[in-house]
Amino acid sequence: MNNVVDALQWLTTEDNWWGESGILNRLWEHVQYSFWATLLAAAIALPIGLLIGHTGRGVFVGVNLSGLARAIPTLAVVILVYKLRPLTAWPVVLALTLLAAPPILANTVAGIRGVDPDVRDAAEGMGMTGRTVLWRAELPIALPLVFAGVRSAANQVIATATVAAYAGLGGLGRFITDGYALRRYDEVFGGAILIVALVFVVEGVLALVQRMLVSPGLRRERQPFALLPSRASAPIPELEPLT
Amino acid sequence: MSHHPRRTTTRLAALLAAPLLLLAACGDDDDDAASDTTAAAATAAPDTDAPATDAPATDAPATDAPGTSTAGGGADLADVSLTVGSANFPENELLAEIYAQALEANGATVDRQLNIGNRETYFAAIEGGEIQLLPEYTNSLLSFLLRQRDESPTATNIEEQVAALREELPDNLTVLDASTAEDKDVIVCNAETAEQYGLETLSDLAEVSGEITLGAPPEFAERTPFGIPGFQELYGAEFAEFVPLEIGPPIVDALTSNAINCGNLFSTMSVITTEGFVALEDDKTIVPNEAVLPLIATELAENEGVASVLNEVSATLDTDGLKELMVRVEADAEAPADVAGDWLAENGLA
Repeated sequence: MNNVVDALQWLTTEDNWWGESGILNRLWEHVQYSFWATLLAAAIALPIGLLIGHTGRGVFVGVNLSGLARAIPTLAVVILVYKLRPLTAWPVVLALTLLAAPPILANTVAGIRGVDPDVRDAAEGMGMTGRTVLWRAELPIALPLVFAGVRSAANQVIATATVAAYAGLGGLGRFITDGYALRRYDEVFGGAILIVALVFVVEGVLALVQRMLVSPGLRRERQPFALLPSRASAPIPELEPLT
Repeated sequence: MSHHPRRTTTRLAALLAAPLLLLAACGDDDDDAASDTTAAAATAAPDTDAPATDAPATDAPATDAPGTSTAGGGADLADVSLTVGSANFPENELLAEIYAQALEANGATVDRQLNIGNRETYFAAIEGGEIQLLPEYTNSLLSFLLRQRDESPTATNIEEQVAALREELPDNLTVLDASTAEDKDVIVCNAETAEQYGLETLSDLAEVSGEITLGAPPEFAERTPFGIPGFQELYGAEFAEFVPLEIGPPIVDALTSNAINCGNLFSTMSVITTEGFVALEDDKTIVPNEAVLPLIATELAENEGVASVLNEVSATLDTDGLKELMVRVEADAEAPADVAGDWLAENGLA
């Protein structure tokens, strides 16, 4: 319990917030690594997920590959890339991208595959072609699940971006690594608290973005009689997406 | 049936689990590291046993020769059991193996808890009695003990350092005789940097320090004398940038790719030779003597057999010998346990 008190004291000491090794700068670095990794992962996983989901081809391979990718140890990737590009952001960003891509891919596929076939039929009946069906019908309906994947990925990335400290970079992991090396446990605990807090804040922001982007018609809690959302937000059983 | 609450709960659980998983993953790493070394020691054991069982035959005359000494085979340590620890770098692991196998050769039962971490971490373990013996370095240990009172060592030679250590250590810990083997912190620069600025000594480095990026472990940022404040005080050096990196591959890789100009390594590391780094001469002695010696539980040190076995090891160990052993461990990737066993056998200590 003493550690928590010390950590709070460390957090509320103004000197600890400013400067290159201050909390604000470390927080900013942490956000940057996490942002680029999640963005890169989304840029890779979303198109592939949409394609697999829409065409229905490669579902088995895609979902299993993304499951396998989750087994890759992040620190090993950091070490391997560090050997090639020491003291750049690449080891961290690439390792975190590999961490973030699988949940986004799995949820995107599950979201698109989970769209009611009747909706697809109706869209085609209205004269939409393949791509339009995807953009105007499938994706909007799948959006809650796609978002769940992105949020889950972002959470994992923020919590794991502490590995940057191993690669001689910044981020909130510095407080944990340096605090440990110098036996300053208030700093270790304070850093951990900051990371958890950042996860909560980002989760809140993404939830807000989701609320703005997802069609109000898909919010089941507000539209108890709507027919679509029950299918839209429900994962299809065999895919077991991470939510 | 409502899906939404389930989803929220799962997400919340995932959210809460994320930091926990991270902690668990860290824990796993430690366990892995520990079990790896145990596994390494276990697999190495048959190998070391083989020469060891051969050794007595060939060494029989050798053990007769120094017959007056009780160490190297004379002590009966059958009722002694202990846990040997080591810091998280190969040389310390090798030294721990040397201590462990020397004691085992005299009948002691030895558990190994190698690669524990940095001094801050393993000292807590030996102070708490989880381990009883660990290879240490005179000045580093003394600085560590005095830093807790915001003091720095005044001892200038090994003898004074040993006396000061016995004074400063908590009652349950002591040190035995020091060896002449020294492993000091050293600042090395990659060949490119050394050539560009014509660097040979730390004074040379201080003159151009405003253009130098230096890599060293995080604690370097605040340590005296060997750290940023000490360098500023003694050499008047102000480095352009300090990059916190662990000694070993992180610093070596950063040096070879010129991501850092200079870095903190240990003087007995074989990589300094193999990568063509230039070790800078410490012309103002910022790094004092660092003689290898056993840090040991007082209770165990009071056992004369144990003390004489370890003192005999220290009397035999010197810097050149240690460097040779380190090339085998680092460049030839031989198991520390094997290298330790060979050295003990060669010197008639096992």
